[in-house]
Amino acid sequence: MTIKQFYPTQGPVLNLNYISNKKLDPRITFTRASTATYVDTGGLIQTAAANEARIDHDPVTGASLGLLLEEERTNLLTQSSALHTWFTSFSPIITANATSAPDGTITATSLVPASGQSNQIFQPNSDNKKSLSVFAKANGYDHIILVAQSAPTTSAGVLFNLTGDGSVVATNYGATGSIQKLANGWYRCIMTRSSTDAATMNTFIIRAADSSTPSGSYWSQSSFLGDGTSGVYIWGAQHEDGSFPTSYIPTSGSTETRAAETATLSNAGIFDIQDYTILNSPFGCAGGGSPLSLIGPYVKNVLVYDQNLTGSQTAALNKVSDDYWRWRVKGSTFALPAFTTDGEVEVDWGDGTVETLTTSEHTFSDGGGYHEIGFKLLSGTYFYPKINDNADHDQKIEAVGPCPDSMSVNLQQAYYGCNNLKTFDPPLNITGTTLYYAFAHCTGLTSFPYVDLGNVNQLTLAWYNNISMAAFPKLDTSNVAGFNYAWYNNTSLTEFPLIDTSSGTDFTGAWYNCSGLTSFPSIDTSAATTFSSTWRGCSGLTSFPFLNTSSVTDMGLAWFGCTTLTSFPLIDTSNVTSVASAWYNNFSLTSFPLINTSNVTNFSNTWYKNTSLTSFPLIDTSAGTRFDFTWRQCTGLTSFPLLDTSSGTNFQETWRDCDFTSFPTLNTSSGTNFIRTWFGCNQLTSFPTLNTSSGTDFEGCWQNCSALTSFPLIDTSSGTNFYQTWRGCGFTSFPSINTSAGTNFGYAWYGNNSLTTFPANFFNSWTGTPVNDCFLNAWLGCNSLTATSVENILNSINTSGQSAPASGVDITIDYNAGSGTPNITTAVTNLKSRGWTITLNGVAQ
Amino acid sequence: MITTYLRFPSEEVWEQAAAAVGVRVNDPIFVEEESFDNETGDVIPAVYEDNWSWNYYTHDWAVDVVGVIYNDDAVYSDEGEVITPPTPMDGWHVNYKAATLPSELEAYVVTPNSPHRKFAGE
Repeated sequence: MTIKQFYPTQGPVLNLNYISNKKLDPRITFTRASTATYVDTGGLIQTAAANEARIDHDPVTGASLGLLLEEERTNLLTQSSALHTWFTSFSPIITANATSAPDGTITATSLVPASGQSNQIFQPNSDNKKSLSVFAKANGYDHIILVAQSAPTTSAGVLFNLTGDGSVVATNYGATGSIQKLANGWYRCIMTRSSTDAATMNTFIIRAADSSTPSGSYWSQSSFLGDGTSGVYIWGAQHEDGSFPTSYIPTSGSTETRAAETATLSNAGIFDIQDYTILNSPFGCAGGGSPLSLIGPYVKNVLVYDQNLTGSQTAALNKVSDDYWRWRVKGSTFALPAFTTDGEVEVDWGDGTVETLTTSEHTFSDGGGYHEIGFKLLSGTYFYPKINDNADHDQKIEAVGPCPDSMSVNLQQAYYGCNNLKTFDPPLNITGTTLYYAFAHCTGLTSFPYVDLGNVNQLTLAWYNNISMAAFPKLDTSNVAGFNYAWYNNTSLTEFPLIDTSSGTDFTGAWYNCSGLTSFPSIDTSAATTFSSTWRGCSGLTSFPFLNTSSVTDMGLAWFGCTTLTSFPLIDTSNVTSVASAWYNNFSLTSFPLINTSNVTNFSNTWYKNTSLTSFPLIDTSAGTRFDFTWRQCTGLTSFPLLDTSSGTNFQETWRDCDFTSFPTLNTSSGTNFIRTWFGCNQLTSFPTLNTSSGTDFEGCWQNCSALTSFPLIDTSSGTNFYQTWRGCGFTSFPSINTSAGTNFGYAWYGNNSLTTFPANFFNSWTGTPVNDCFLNAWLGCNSLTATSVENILNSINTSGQSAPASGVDITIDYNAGSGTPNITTAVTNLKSRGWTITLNGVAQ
Repeated sequence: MITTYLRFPSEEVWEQAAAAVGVRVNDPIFVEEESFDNETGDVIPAVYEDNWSWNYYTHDWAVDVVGVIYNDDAVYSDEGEVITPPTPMDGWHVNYKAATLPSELEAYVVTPNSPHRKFAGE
């Protein structure tokens, strides 16, 4: 097999080569809010206008390096070129505009130490950042020293040699140096202070020098003394915040900022968003996403193919030939503390060190900045990098490059937490069967390439919290059974491809909180059993397709919070046992289909807050036991069908705050929990004689049913808790229902200000054990009660023979004093003897 | 695009203003599921942890946070040692460059004769 066989049969639809074609394609949107410098083909530094893209060049050979995309940096020195304006010590001879500078202008400064004297020019600078640089050229002396002056023993410094290719001769206090050769005898000398250097830098010092290693306080090189004629040329000093220098930023009188560069490629009219591959050379492969962000600092080539490319094709196009899997990392150190392999992995750190990979941290000998590192499998069958949210190193990975086919990779937890990972090239050989947390919290990924998933059958949390992912490719997921939380919180996705989900059984939370999705494809869910939270929080969906749900048993929370769905299809729910919270807060649904719910036992919260429903179908609820909160706050429903609720035991808040004007005679004979069941149904003008004979807890059951003027003689004989049961109702009279097992009547008729008649003998058979405060404010605000009703209440309680509880012993009654004076002397006396107190219209009796 | 120089009373005020104009964005991270209190019937909202990030540069705006600016009043020895450190000016300084200035930032505009920091090339 030859490498040609790996290449795609069709060429790219877009080929942006910045090496040979040095212009920005008009389909790229490019922004930079400032000027910036670059090196031209002649090796001279040039300035690009704001929003003008830069093609940078090798300053010696003139070869193109590609499209230069840099982050924001500020030159914290206010006079970067006019170095003759800096402070001096030891009276050096300073000559402005002495020779041609790296930009071709006659602006370089000559620094010549006085005869028999040391020398330095310096610029006070309290910004105290890590990276300092200056352009220098020999003029008699061929060395210079850069110092970040702090205390005498904590001043970082570097001695540079300005001959040949240039070199770093010596360093002080943890500093690292690097030197870049330019044209015309110039060098860029770079000093990076150690990341652990906590000393406060006060001034930036430049000295002409010889080859002797400096010593003494402030690394002042006390042994070197000038001859009065030899010196160095200097130009373009820079002090910036970062562990590596960036392109030169000229300043003149103030600090200046080179704005960050943003380059994006919109897919409009160029390629199919669901079937394409972008190769962003040297790093960057994408299979979804519009627009695509180009990844700096150097982009050499962008190829767009109007098809999904396999890992083999990607590797071939990227000309992977050395068996190294290349990554781009940023920082001064890196490690894979949790990696595993069944053999041996070699690592090329990109700084000259090639060694067997261990879990130890590597410190790059060339300082901070970008490093291209590579991994090669020397023996064994797989490499498992497993970053797994490692706090020290997960932020350093910027790009993962093409992977040779000799490398088999386990991706489980591989890039979990890599917030700065912007691009990932697909490996050819994935080992293992799960992508568990593989790319979780990769918040910088805007796209993802086509990946051959091989034997992967679990995508659990694979792309969890990829909040920038704008689109997703049509991966081959035909073997995947578990899609649990795979795209959870991918809030930027606006559409989703028609992937093969025919093997999928568990879709728990798969698209949970994908709030940007406005539509969803008709995926194959014929094998699905679990839809728990699957589309929960997809608050942008306006419609939902007709899916095969014939095997699904759990739809709990499936469409919870899909607030913009206006309709719902008649899907097969014949095997579903739970629809708990399934359509919770679907407040835009105006109708609901007659789905088969014959096996559903749990209807808890199912249509809670479906405020736009104006009718409800006669679904089969005969197996339902839990109806707690089921239709709570369905404020658009004015009537309710005669559903079979005969198995229902829990009716807590089932129809709370609904706006029914009437209610059917449902079978509630198995119901035990009627807590706040019809609370706030303030449009009800009548109530049927339901079978509530099993009910034990009626707390707040009809509270605030303010339009109810009468109440039926229902069976409440098993009821123990009547706390606030009829509070705020509009009754004028009250029936002699059986509340003999009651233990708590606190606030039971509170605020029934139309209630005139309370029946006699109501509490005669009362046997329930009174709880503390059992009659607290029970009839407070019942200002229409007659004196006779007061007699009925107190005489019947007296007749029951019940003693007061340990605390909260007051029987609180308000009544219409105009109706007469109640004859309650005997009752009050007896009740008080059993520990009760009685308050009538605020007056203790 | 026009550069506007802004001075806020503090970094906190800047952060609030930045959030109002989309320069600072919160993408909360999910911590705990929404739940129900069956005693009260109240929904206990899901718990999310704030996750703020900055959009300093887009195709529409560029933001350079200067922060505290110091007066040019430090005193140095001939060796470059600091004898008296510089004193800070009031406020938290930000350079904002865009086609138009959002109304939320108008109250913080200043017009320095000689800006401490500029975007390169201005």
